[in-house]
Amino acid sequence: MITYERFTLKNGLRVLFHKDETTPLAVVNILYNVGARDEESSRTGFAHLFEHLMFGGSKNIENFDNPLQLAGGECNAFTNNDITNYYDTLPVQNLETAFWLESDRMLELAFTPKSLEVQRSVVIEEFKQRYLNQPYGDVWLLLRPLIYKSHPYQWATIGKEISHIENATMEDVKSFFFKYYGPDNAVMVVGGNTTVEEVKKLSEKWFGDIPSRGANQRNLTPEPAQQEERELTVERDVPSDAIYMAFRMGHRMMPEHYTGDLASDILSRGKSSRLYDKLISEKKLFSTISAYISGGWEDGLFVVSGNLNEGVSFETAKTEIRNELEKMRVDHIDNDELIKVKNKFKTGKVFSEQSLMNRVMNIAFFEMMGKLDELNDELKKYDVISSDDIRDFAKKIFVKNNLSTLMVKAKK
Amino acid sequence: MNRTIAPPFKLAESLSLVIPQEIKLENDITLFWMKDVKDDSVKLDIEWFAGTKYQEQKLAASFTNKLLLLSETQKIARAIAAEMDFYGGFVQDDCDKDHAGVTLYGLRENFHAFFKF
Repeated sequence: MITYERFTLKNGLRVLFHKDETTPLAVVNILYNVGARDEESSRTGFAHLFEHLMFGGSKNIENFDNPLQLAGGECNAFTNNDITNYYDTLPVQNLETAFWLESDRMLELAFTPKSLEVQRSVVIEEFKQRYLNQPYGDVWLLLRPLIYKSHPYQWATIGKEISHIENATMEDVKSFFFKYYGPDNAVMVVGGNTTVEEVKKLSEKWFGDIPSRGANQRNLTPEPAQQEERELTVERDVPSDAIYMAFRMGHRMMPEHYTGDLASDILSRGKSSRLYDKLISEKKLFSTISAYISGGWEDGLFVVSGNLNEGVSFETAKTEIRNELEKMRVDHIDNDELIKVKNKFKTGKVFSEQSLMNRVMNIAFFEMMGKLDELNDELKKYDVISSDDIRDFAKKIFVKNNLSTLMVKAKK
Repeated sequence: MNRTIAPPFKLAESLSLVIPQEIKLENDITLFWMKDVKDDSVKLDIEWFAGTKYQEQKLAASFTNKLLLLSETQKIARAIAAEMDFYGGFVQDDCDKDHAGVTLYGLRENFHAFFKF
């Protein structure tokens, strides 16, 4: 069980403390309620660019990393379509160093032209390296707009195109910061062998005087239900043909999220899973195959993707995957198979929660989702899922009109 | 408050490491038991002096290591995978210049089942 204590500063910053007496390290995690979904369609990639800028120096501290490293710490961050998350790990006796650094960049960034120029170049290189020059790197740049026609999930975190990053001005950056990086738009979680009194004291000292800037009030129109099957085939310089079949499903906060997760595990978690056993081991149609859910906070996806073996056609690949999905729609799921995926989930969860960092991040995510009271209920939610629940999920989700398929054909 | 001044910090004076208990089994295998880890997980590492420096043919070391969990005298690969998965277990194989080995991850409540493999 993950324990926590919670308080809120006058400026709206929500602070949670998780005690762990077993480690000499502490974690400070700040989750900002801003992601790629908050960007305008003509200026995408900003949330991610901003994540980089947050390491480019703040109003009173020229460099973020050096003082943290001097205190024995390290840090990193990530952005996705829903949120932006920053975290620091350091010896617990130096916890105040993280408070000093994080509070100063929440107060105000340095906004130097040099920092913008450097980080813009870094992000553009990342775009080229990871999304344009890497085999299968552009898959989600193609698949997202195939699935989403109006919702901001139609672009990836890196952005729609490089020009959006190239054209970012200092005014854009400042406006983004003051709109989204206020204390009342963030959740801070501190974990380690200290006390809630100490965390309160440090929070008041370093974050207490940062002015509120307003919480992010987003009002996004949900993507309408898909009404027709969609397909896209592209040819790329890749080692083998690959297929990506994406079905729309419920978002992270819906019960469907958990049913979909177990359904994906039945299909592809472990070597005894259905897709691995049938399509890799027995029929030798794929070299890799996996099923997974996206867990988006606005809308979810159930994805089956795989690399085809030489000589296997896309038609065969699609038919064979559909056959396996059809079995889930029709057949009763054996109790042992259900116990198996629940056991797998439980093992994964226990190992994941060994890490203080993962526990702290989980608290931050559940608080931001407004579901903190459900933080320790995850196992129960998986445990109650029945064979009928999975069959109902499959009947609802695995239908033609809800499917978008991307086929990446290898250039000969 | 002057935000340009860093708070004082100090380096760790000591580190407490989890030291394994060493147990000699009857067949001369040495078991290192990390008994002070307090949660429901179990991780079993089995290591052999069977890394690539001992191989006479390329890939012999890693192929042999991978074959360990593909079949044995009583069970074929599919049955091993099914049982391992049923008990919520995860497997990883590793091979470097000196050692080859497999790691089994699982829950304490199910781990007795893994020893059969």
